[in-house]
Amino acid sequence: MLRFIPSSLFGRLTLILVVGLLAAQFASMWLHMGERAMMMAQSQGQFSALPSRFATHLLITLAAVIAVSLVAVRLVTRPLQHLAEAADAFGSDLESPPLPETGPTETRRAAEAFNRMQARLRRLIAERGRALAAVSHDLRTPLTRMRLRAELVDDETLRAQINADIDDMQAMVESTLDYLRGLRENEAVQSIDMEALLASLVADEQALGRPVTLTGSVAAPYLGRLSTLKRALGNLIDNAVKYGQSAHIAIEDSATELRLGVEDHGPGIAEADLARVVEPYVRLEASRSRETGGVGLGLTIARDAALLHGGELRLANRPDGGLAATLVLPR
Amino acid sequence: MDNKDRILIVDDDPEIRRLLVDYLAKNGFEAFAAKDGREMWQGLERHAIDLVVLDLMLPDTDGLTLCRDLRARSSMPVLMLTARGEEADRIVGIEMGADDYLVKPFSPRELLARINSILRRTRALPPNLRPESQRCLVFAGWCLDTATRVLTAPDGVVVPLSGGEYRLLRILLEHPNRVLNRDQLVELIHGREAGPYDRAIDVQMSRLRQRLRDENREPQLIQTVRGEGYVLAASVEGRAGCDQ
Repeated sequence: MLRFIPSSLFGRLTLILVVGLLAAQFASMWLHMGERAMMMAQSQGQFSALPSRFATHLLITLAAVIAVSLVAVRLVTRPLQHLAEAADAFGSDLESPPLPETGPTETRRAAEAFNRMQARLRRLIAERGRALAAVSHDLRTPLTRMRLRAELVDDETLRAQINADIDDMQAMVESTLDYLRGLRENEAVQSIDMEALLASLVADEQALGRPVTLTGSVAAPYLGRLSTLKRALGNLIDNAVKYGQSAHIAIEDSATELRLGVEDHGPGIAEADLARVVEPYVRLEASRSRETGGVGLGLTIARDAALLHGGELRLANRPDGGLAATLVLPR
Repeated sequence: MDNKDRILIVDDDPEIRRLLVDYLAKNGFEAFAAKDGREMWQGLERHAIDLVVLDLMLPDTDGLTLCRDLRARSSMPVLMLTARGEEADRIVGIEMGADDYLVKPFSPRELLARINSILRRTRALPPNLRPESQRCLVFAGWCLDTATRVLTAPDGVVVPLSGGEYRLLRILLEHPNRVLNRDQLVELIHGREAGPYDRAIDVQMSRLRQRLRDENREPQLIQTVRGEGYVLAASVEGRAGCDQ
């Protein structure tokens, strides 16, 4: 029996429509004949009953047509919905599973094409990442040598300058590797004491003599990825200290979301640049970016971390000056 | 007789070997170099080495296997060097018994500081407990992962620690049920003598108690011994991992 069901979506739709409409016609014919038989039997007819019969008849036909259309529409839209869901999932998670390649010919072909595209994209990203990681990684040996050689320089100013250059290069290497790691690492979700995490970051910064403070408290442990969150917050604090001379972390916790705002007293960011600045390797053209170094990955890493937790990174200029970068993490 | 500490450097990059030997020699050590595992064993036989600086990536055997073999035969302190900063590598390095871990490109001063701190730690106050190749320390339901430096509470909540809190807790866990005074703690943590106004330890101790949810009027876990110092009142055992 199943053998006679056509494999293409077009065939299936046609079959459903034909069978459905035939069924409606049969139903209506059957009713019609019933009515005529009744009318003939009663011969001196009670015509008053006829309109109500007609209405029933019409209703049944209509219901049959609606049911058939619903089935048909569902048949068409369901695979489309699956495709949309898969595309969405793939957008946020490269490792999302492939679509099942089943169903009518058209859907199957679309799923196959989608899966091929997914595999190709994944390969491409992996290859790019590997190339970048290899270069960044191999730079570490020459950088180590340079650090040691710098110690041989007697001129203190020169040595400090060389060390500053090496620091810059190292920062680039590290943040590139961090970024690539964030893209591919699948860290386990744990229940985290966020207040302890923030306090530990603040204490470590203060130990280096940086003006970083913390207010607010967290009501309950947060389910998240520890290294990812730590990296994101570390980057936001670094940025605040670099461009805004100091960082203040404000915790706002509620039943629905945890907000971690990192505020500084720097010049802020022009409204036009707010959206752009989170893109990878984007640095604002201001001269200060040359002095402060950095590759333009800090905010990207923070944004990716927020997205991974189903949240977002909000950037805003504060009314009383400075930038507020807020990690909004849904609970 | 000079009493310089002897360091053996094992690294496959000839330039790094040469530069490190020079640098350490300039800073009061007697330094030797080996380019692979074979030369390392020869070096250890010939000279009375105090500490090995070991690169993770070597041509013949890899550094991790060497580190494990070395640890199986002696309690030689090992400082691991690597060009990979990934967490997984650090974890393996600590599990194989390395005392500390430094990622290339490290600053030479940092290397000096770490070497000094390991030598002091292994020498000055031998720990009650040497958690060789035991990655996690379990006490009173808590678990400290020495590779990731993360503390796990009895209820499974992960409690990140600052560098200072971690070092302090680590020292306490290595000397359970033993009163440590402020001078000893400062010495073990910072490797210097406590100054007359060194109250930083007390601040750190109260933070650590807060993390350990031990901030009653009479702390149970880390107790204050009036006039003497602090004592960790719990038994400590080593374990491979923190997930029960």
